[in-house]
Amino acid sequence: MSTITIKNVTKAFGDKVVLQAFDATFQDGEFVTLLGPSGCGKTTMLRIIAGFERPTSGEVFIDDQLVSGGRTFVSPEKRGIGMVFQSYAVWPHMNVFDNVAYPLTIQKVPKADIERRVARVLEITHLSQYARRLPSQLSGGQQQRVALARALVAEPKLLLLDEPLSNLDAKLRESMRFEIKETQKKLGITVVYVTHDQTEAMAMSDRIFVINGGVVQQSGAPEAIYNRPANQFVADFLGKVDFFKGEVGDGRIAFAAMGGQSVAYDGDKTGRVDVAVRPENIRFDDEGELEGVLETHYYLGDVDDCRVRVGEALVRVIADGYGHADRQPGQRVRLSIRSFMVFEDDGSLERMLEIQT
Amino acid sequence: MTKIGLALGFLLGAALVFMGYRGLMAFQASGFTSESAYTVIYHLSEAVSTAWEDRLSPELDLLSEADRDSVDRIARELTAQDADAPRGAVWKRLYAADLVGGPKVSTAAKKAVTSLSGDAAAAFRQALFQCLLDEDAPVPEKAEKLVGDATGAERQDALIQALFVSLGATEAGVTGHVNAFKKTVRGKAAQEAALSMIATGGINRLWQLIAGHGRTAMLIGALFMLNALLLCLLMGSERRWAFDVKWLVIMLIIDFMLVFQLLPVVYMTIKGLFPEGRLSLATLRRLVSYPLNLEALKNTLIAATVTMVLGTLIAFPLAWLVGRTDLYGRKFFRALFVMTYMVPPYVGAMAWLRLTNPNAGVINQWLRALFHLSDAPGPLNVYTLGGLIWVLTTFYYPYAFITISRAMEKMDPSLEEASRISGATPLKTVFTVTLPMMMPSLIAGALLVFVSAASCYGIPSIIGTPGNVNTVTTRIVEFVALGQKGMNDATALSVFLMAVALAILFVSDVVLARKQYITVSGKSTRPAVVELRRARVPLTVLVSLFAVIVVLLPFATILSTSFKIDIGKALTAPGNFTLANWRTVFSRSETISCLKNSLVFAAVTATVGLVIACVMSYLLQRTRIRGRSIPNFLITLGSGTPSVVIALGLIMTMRGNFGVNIYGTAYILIIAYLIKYLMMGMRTVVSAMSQIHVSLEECSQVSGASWLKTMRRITVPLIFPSIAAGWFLIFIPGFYELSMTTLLYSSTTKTIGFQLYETWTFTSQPMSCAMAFGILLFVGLLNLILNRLTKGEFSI
Repeated sequence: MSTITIKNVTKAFGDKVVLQAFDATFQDGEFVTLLGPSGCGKTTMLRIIAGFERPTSGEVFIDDQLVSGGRTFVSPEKRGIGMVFQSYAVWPHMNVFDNVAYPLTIQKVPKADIERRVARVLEITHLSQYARRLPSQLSGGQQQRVALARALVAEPKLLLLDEPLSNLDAKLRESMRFEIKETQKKLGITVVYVTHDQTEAMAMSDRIFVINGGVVQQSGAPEAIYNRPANQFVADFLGKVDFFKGEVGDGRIAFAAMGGQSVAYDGDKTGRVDVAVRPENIRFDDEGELEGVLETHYYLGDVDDCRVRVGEALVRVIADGYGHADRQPGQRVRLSIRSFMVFEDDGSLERMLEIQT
Repeated sequence: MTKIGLALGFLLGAALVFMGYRGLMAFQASGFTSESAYTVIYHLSEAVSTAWEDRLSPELDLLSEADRDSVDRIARELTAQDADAPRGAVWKRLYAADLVGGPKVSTAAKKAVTSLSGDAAAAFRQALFQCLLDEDAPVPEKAEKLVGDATGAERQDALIQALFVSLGATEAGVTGHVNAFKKTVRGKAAQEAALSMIATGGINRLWQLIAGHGRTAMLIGALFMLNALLLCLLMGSERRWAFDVKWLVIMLIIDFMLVFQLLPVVYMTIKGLFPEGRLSLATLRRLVSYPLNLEALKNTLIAATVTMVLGTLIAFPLAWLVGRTDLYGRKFFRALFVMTYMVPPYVGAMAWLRLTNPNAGVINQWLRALFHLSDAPGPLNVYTLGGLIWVLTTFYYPYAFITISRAMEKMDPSLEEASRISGATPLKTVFTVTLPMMMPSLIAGALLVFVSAASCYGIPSIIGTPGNVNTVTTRIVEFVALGQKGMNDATALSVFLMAVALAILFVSDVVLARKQYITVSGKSTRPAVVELRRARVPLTVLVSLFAVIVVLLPFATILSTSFKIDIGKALTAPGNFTLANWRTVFSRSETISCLKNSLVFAAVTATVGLVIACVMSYLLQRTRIRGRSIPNFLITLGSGTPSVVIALGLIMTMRGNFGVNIYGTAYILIIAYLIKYLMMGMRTVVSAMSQIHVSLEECSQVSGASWLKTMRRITVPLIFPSIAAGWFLIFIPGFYELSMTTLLYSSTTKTIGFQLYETWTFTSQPMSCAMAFGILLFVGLLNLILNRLTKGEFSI
């Protein structure tokens, strides 16, 4: 179990700043996820913790010991960290046992101990019967578990995972997600997990750091981030969301694109705002405040994915799959919004959309 | 339908073999000295027949029947023919015999006769007939010089000759054939046979072709049969009897390689094992029993082994430093070390000879001055096995360097990072992860160095021969120069060298390739660069020093030597600087013609090679047609065969004894270059093509483009840089080739590489250095063009 303190870490490659003033403390036994689109700097942060990159400025402490910062630099092999790489990095010239035993061999652990500890970790990762196989004889999921076993065998207090599931197929990804989480709970180690997959982050993390353009946008528990995003980027990156431009007045927000239709609002924002609505938070409701015409709907089994034309705006509604047979394109419908998020219209939405499109 | 076609093809082949065999037998029984006799006989027969049918026969018909009989009788008597021989045959024979065996006719006499034409000539001939019939009839004035005062049979002879001269016996074409006839048909029996062939018209175009080219017919027939069988096998294994045009292409390439690559080496091996037609190890035993052979063998093995060890020991750390650390100027060093690859080997040898010649070597002079040694030769002596090894090492370590650094760049850096995070130090990681993962490439690189050093001719020919350190290659060339006497030893040494080279080719292409670890590389952030920290500056200095000694010093030596008058003195010595060497050497017509030869041969080789390379790339990468790997295999085999062996094999088989006679022509050089260097170009194009996903082409086809258009608009533009690179990769070594040229050149096909070698050995070292530096500049220029052409993607 170990605590990681990151103080004001900045990293630049040449002129390009990829990480800006990163400040955080990861607690003992915490499962922390660095989440963000590719190129946001999350992997760089992980590699700085591992010691593969040196921060341009700032400091990194592991258990109050300075490992990177100023003139101090502890090389990766001396940090006592376990790490799983995106490509697994399972050595093709060693069999499973030798791969997993490697960290112990380096530490010159007695042979009998190595056998015992490797056997245990192989059991945890369900690899016992493959100990003598070469990596080329294993499937992707099995190789991934070898990488995990190797990272765990030396009983590190800190485990780093760099998009470990991105090369697996969907089914396997889901089960591995569960296994990693279980293992972490069982061993009680601190985990720093890098991913661009928000579902993965939501499912596993105690705390998520959403990063964009080298800057931490928000950190917090998954539900807090999902329900109370700090800005438009975070709202957009986690889950589905539609943005509408609105104007606050008289306890309501009026939407120009919806021909001036409005919804009730009791918050403290005033003037021009960006309203973010998650499609699953909109309902067909005969008493609803908004009125429009159902344009299309796609029945997906569990849900019915609908588009409703409200004024000029197209509103996405994820409705219960149950009532799909009653819905006909062209129908006049009313909508009510269960909850929505309001952001000041400071132009950041436009900037964000510009980047994405 | 296809089956019938194949059967027909096979039968055609069998027929050709059979007829070729009959032709060959007929030729051997005929006693002609050359198969071209048949061609000559055919042409003469044509000429004689024409004369008979167009002129002689109609003119004879003008005589009265009795007169005609008399004239015919005379002709019969003169040719000693039976009474029942047809008139035409008799006259034709008489004409032919007169052409090839008649008494000499003076030019003046000939002129007198041939000055007549048309009706006058016909009248002249009628007059001659009259003279033949009547001993006392006056000889026509124009024929007087020929007939003179002869009487009886002599007179008849002379009159007949005048007749034939008048018929056009002196036409230029006919004279040429007559001369050729005299050369190829010798002896009474042979002449008799040839004459009756002409007389009876027993030679037609087909027979002339077959008997005149019996071996060629047999060779082509054998190829037809082989191709038909091979196609049967391919179609049979596919269980689909449909002909595919691609097979035609494959067969063409296979046939080419069979004739010019496999046949020579197989024939040579057989010659080595069956020197007198029986299996005998005598030739091979001579390898160890004959001191000259044994010494060459020992030198070669020692030199190649030590070069391999030294080269790999240099290449691995160098590849690691340049590829995986933050060494200063790593890109520059990389380019520099790779560039050495494109320098002709003999240039390095010349430079090191100038540097460490025991008497006048520059380094020796420095060392003597530095340590106040006596003026005795030394301390370094390039004319030793050690000197040879040193030069071989400086020249061949890039082969290992390129192989290793390529593998190192392909390796997923997270494999090393995983080791670091597991607690291993960088050094430990090198030994537990990097080195074992590199091992297959390392061994492949080492073997490549071994085989290149063992089959190198350029370096030992310049350093070893004067120092009496002979290697297998230099001995082979010497033995070949001895002619028939040396052939057995040359063959034995070649078989040995080839066996070593092919065994190594097998190990590195088959055994090691299977062990090559394919590492799934995820999107690794950036290549892991090991920080050298305190060692950064010292290591950079060390690498620079190495670069200076191995690359710059030799080049500088070549350049400075090229301006010297007295090579024993420093360039700065008073009056020792001259531009004359450059001027002389590049204004000599000999140099110019050699340069032209080299450019043409290399360009033809590269162009033909690239066409084959592109076709092969397409077949290998874009089709699943069966048999596509056979040409690939043969081409690989060809490039793995040492140059000297290829050349010797061609010498032994391409002088007509197998139906192909290209000895001493430019073709033999181009074919040799093609066999040796085709692989280089092909690999470049193949790997480029493998990197273009098929979907790019499929997308174009879906968009409505035809196959041809897709090739032109999508595939070729995408792989163009590689096509250009492939062309240069064949062109450059072909341009300065020495080892094969040494064995295959003739006075009209000397190349610049050979010219340089001759100039070095016999004329002037400074002039030779000027040529060498000129070649270096040219290769550098080509490199620059290539770089521009491919937008910086390729340089060699």
